[in-house]
Amino acid sequence: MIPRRSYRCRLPVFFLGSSVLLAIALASPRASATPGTTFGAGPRDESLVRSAVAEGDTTDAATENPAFAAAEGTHIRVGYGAAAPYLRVNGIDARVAPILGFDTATHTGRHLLPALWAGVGFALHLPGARVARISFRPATEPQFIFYEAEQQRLSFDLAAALRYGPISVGGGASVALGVGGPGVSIDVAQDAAGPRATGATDISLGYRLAPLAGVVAHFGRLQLGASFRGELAVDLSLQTVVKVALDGNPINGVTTVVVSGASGYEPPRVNLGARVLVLRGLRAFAALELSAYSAAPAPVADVSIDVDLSSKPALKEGRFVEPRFRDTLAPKVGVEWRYPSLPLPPTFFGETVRAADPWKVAVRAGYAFAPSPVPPQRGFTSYADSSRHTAAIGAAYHLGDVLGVDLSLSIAAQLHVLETRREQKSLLSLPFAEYQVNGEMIRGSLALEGQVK
Amino acid sequence: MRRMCTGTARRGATGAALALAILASGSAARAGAFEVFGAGPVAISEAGARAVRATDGTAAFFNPGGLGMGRGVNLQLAPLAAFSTLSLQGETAPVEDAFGFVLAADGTVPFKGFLTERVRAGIALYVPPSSATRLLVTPPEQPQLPYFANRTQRLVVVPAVALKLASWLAVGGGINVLAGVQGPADVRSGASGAPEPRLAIDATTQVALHAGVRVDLSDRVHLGASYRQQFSVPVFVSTKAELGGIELSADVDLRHALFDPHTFTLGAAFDLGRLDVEIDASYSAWSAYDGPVLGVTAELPGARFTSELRRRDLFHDVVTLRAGAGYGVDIGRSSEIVLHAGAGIEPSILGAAPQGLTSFADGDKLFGGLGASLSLRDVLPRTVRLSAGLGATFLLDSALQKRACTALPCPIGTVAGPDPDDPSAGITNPGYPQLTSGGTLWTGSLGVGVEL
Repeated sequence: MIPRRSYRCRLPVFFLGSSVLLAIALASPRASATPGTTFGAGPRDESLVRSAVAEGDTTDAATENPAFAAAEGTHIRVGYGAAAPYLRVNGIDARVAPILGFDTATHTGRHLLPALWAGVGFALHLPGARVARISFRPATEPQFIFYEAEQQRLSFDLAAALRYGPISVGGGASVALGVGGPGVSIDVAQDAAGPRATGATDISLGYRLAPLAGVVAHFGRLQLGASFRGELAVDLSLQTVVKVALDGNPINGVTTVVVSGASGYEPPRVNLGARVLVLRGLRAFAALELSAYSAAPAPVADVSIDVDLSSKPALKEGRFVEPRFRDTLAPKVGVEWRYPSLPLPPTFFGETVRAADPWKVAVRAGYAFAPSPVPPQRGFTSYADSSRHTAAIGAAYHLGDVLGVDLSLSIAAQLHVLETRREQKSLLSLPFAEYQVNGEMIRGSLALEGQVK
Repeated sequence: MRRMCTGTARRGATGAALALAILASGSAARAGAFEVFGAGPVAISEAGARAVRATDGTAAFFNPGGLGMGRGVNLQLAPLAAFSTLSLQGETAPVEDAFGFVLAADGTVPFKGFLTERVRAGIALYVPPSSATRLLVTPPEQPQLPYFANRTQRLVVVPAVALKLASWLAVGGGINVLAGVQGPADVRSGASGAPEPRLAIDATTQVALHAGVRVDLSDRVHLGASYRQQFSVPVFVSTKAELGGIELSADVDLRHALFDPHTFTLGAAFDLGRLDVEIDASYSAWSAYDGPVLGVTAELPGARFTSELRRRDLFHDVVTLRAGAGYGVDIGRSSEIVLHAGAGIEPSILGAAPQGLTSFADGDKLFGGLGASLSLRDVLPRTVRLSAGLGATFLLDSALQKRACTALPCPIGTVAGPDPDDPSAGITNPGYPQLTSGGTLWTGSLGVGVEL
């Protein structure tokens, strides 16, 4: 029998992992969670196309279901994923940038009482090329609004959970930052030495939090799970005041510019799922994800230019109507086979055998369908999107003990196919009155996961 | 009429472009509060002389090598507040957002084999409650204290790892993750006829290093050396705009916002039984600092306006001396109270070069601190430490003289009035003819820590 090590020995691993995640996340300007919700967070989650709402790794707690954190042990996962989009408008490559990045997560949990477990977890997605991209494009141009800048952002999530008997309940938050404050002032003035421009700023990055919640019910060979992720958007509201005061200049005055908008909107999502132990070592997963896109703001920025001259005031504004996106319901299924594995519970609802999982090899596969939330484009806007099919496969190998850490290696691959969709606006005089959208994306990921014994 | 409308469009577009350019600039989180306020109650009360003796999470900031000499798993939370009686031109100069939380954690990574008890991890954080970062750059002519201004209004997150190579030697390294901003922004009338912005601003990843080593010459004599890489927020956004058929451009360049200099520290600590003493000497390379100035270049057809206010000769490198001590007194059989005190001195970071439009003020500084920490062992299930510290940074009175421009073209380092025929008349620069500063920045912190 292996002697149990004290809990304090495992905390430093958690600190180490969490520290790095926290450092990167907090030192970065903005956060959103779209790469994780589009592809998954880590090879297991990706190869099961995020269908494992009812049973996930503990390191999936912050991204998939906070209730997963209610488990014993300390875990850290470090991985890398890359997606190559080939998305087209009218058959021409839209040059959507590759979606790259590190996916890391940590978890630590403890068995507090005979029937009570508690744990916490963090997760971070760090884009490879940049910490974040803030992008607004004219709404009249065709643009893949869900696969461009939204996928190029860092995301940081944290979760905590309790399990009592067969029920695990968790909560957490997804963290983002908004941009606000008095803004910027520019003075163009002159003295005897000549004209000059000077500037001042007062810009704040305020915290934005979206709630996470989840529950898992353990019933032997059947587990049921549900998770909720609140809406999150990178909002900005920034004012710029330009004062011009030059001798004899007829255009002296004050110009006030306000730019406001929401980028990287993540809708509220509810995920319901189940896991069934079909055979010894074989798990089947199914889930339905409701994404409430109908409350989404326009993915373009509003601009207001207010000119206050001594001779004449003027106002110029650019503002687009709400996009009227539709709520979507996405079905997802997955299977996982582990060898060797623990025996099945004696009955369907019988208690699961409590012992370390002896697996050495695991193979996984999944399929998901994600309807497009974008309605037919009939006016000025030309948002590009279509319903998406995702097929995935994956595998994992349990390396065993290395310097006191129980290591495993996982890989996954996904193929995303965007259906062909044709938009025809009511007036041919409107910008991009006709266009067609389709495309594919290939995604691969690799991760190393360690557990401190 | 046409001219006015064109001008309206020009300035509107310029403003829009600037707004678009600036909106991404408040996007970083860096160190700063630890240098100005202190890293928790013990560090405050010992005037920051902790480069050798810090072995907990704060060692990630002071000296990651010291982290390797720590033991166990420790957590600390310490609210921190500052109060300014600093003065500028005879008026109180507040320090913005002077409240936050210091969090520190450290622990030994439970590797087995040759790494057993040799690897430790730690993290030091300063978390402001209201916003993650506040980018505050005042107009350059407004008197300001660059040593204190816009260095503390942001998160500080410094994780570190240390390796204990021998019982007497440990090395460590940490990172400070930064995000610079660069990219194009464009606003022009779109197909809808309205001004439509097009932005592709990248927050590029930047990392600054902390590194250090600790050497224990004996049980009583310890040495430490550390290096903190310079960090600041580099922002460069080039903007183009077209409204009404007029091409405009505006570049915003904020090279050294939220600046902290390269800092090298050497320290020695002596364990004298109940008393331990540390002396640190730091070299801070302030000469690389451009000053907290927002660079603006705006081009309209036929006109170009710039702010050429950055100068590399205003700031100079400084050597700081700090000393700190702790004296332990037993309470009962297993608890202890440690009394802390510290002092330090640092010359002004401003050199003798005359300033022009800018009104940066600084002076020689004295540091002082007092505090105590109580370790309660065997009272609660875990050892708990309660700490309190009060520190002061005394900015010695200084008066910087400004020079008037007496003839055109005005030399660098002078200020001018509105009349080209008599530029020395009617000067309204608020720092002319003399810029005075002084006063004290008070810092206090209460902390609770636990050994897990």
